[in-house]
Amino acid sequence: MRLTSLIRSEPFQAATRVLAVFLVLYSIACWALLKSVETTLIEDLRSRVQGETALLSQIYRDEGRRGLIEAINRLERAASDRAYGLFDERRLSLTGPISTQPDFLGFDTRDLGVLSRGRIAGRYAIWVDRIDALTLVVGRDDAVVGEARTRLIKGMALFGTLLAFSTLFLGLWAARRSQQRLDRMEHVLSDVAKGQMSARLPVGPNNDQIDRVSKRINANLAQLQRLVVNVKSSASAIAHDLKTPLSHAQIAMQEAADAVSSDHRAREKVGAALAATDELGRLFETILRLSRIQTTANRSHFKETSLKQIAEKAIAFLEPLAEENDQSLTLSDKDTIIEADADMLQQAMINLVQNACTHAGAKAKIEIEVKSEAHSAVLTVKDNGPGIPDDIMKDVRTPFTRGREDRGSSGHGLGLAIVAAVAELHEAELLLENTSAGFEASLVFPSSKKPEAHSKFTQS
Amino acid sequence: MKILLAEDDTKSADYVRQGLIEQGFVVDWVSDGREALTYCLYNEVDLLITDRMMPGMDGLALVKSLRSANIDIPVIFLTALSDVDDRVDGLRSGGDDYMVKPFHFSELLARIDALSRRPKATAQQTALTVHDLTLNMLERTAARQGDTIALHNKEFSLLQLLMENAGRVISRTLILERVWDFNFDPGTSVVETHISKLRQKIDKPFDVRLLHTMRGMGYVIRAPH
Repeated sequence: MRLTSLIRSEPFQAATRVLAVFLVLYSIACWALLKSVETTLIEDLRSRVQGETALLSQIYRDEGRRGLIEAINRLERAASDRAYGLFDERRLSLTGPISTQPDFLGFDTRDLGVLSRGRIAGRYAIWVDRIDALTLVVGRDDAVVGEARTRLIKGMALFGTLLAFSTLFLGLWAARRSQQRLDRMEHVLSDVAKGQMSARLPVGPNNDQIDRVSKRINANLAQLQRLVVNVKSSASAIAHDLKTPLSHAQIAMQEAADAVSSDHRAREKVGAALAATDELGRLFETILRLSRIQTTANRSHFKETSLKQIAEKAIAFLEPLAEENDQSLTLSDKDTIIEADADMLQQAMINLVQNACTHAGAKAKIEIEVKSEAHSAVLTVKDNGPGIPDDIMKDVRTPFTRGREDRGSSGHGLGLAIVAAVAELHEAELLLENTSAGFEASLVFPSSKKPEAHSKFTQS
Repeated sequence: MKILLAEDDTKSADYVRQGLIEQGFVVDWVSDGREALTYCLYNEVDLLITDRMMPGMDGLALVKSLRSANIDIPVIFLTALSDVDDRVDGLRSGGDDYMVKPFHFSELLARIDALSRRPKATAQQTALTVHDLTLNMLERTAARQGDTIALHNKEFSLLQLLMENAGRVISRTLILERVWDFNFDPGTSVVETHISKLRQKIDKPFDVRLLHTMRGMGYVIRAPH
């Protein structure tokens, strides 16, 4: 099973669409979560620095300016993630690494590189408050916020990636499963097309969409099988019911022929009547055969058939007809093997060559060519006769269509109709063409095999 | 030779039965497939001629039952079912020959002859003679009044079929089947053309005509009365 076909399949496409929508929603959710966590952490820092400011204010009230400066220096030494600054009424720094007084009161986050003149690097959450004439600045490193943000982003990205791969994998798995079921459906329908009317699609226990479609197709196949059986049994019934009276007529005439055997004239008359019923029987047989070929879909009995041998047999059969008309019948050297019903193909071949013998005129050159092309096998009968008049060309495959000059002849206009029906059964194309040299009739079969050991196809 | 005819159409059965009796065969007739099976199980029969579509049991089931009971009598199907598939079914079920209605009685005789000759096939004839025409089966040549006649392969097969059944009318269907191995009628008059070419070789240069066309029936080769 090719990956590209799986990727183009509907289940995989559906999985990718779901994944795309999910990733957009997931990104929005991640962004909201990130902002929420950041806000919570900043709020936490704010309450810490605010609390610490309140504590230092209390120390100032208890111990005065000196006590406050000492407390700041102790705290400064004890924790590296903290920063302090104390300024007098003239904005001069009294202690702490923050040497420039911020221009606001209250809470904010600032890069302390400028405010500490390079002594402290990084961003800090700071609280600025006035204690009498003094200004106190308390800061806490907000690296914890950045660290939390980085971890959160990494975690969400990892989770998103895992989820994306899982979804794609599940999509591929579903696509492969669906593709396998569709392949089985295709296989079964191909078997039905080859005539195995009893073939049915597998139906699983899940009653999913494919199962429901399979059930519907199976019901249609069962109906088709009933119709085919009905057509066949009708054809058999017609054959039996109409042939029996015809058979009785022939029996009566043969008995009459025996009864008048001494009377030459009467025997001639009975002979003519017998010939007419014989002709009627053969016409009836041909119509039935055409109908059977048109309605059959059974290709299970097809076997490897040499197109060259079919052509040789037709030539051996029709050679006297060509000789009578002083025509030449030639066959190309090449051979091609196809899967076919040899009897039907033989009849189609005889019809095509006989048409050429009958219509190409005296001394015509009739050539039969067998060709094997990349994806087809071609059987061509060409002659240098006048071809088929354009006005009847489109109708010649229709039963009982005959050219103007054929009206008085013994044919019934069924020859090319049979060839067309045989072609259809073999999924071949029948091409009829007036050419500059004369006329060409070709049967183009969909595929061919190279001829193997020639002895396999012995000519009888 | 005793023949059992299983046929539900009375008119056809009368005709076949009468014709066979006139040819010296002993013939019994049943109109039901089951009756035919019972008859074959409890009586000595040399040949069975049976229809396909019969009341009681159809011809295919009848022949299959006979074969499974190890009764190996030769069987000819005589039926209106003419499709190649029907023929294949008939022969696969154990039938030895298959003949389609409407039929010519002489063709039925030719087929009975061929089947009754079959067990003696080892004692093959090496030559066939009709009047002054001889067919040498070993050298595959023909001669008339001492003159050798050159024959093509299919001409030889055609003449052999006619001479094996000398005096008997051979139908177009049988010729197509035995000489060209066609199980279908190509619907042409080419058989007549082959016959006339053969006639040119074996009759035209000589005074006495041996090969005759029986209009509406077929062709026969026979010595003059």
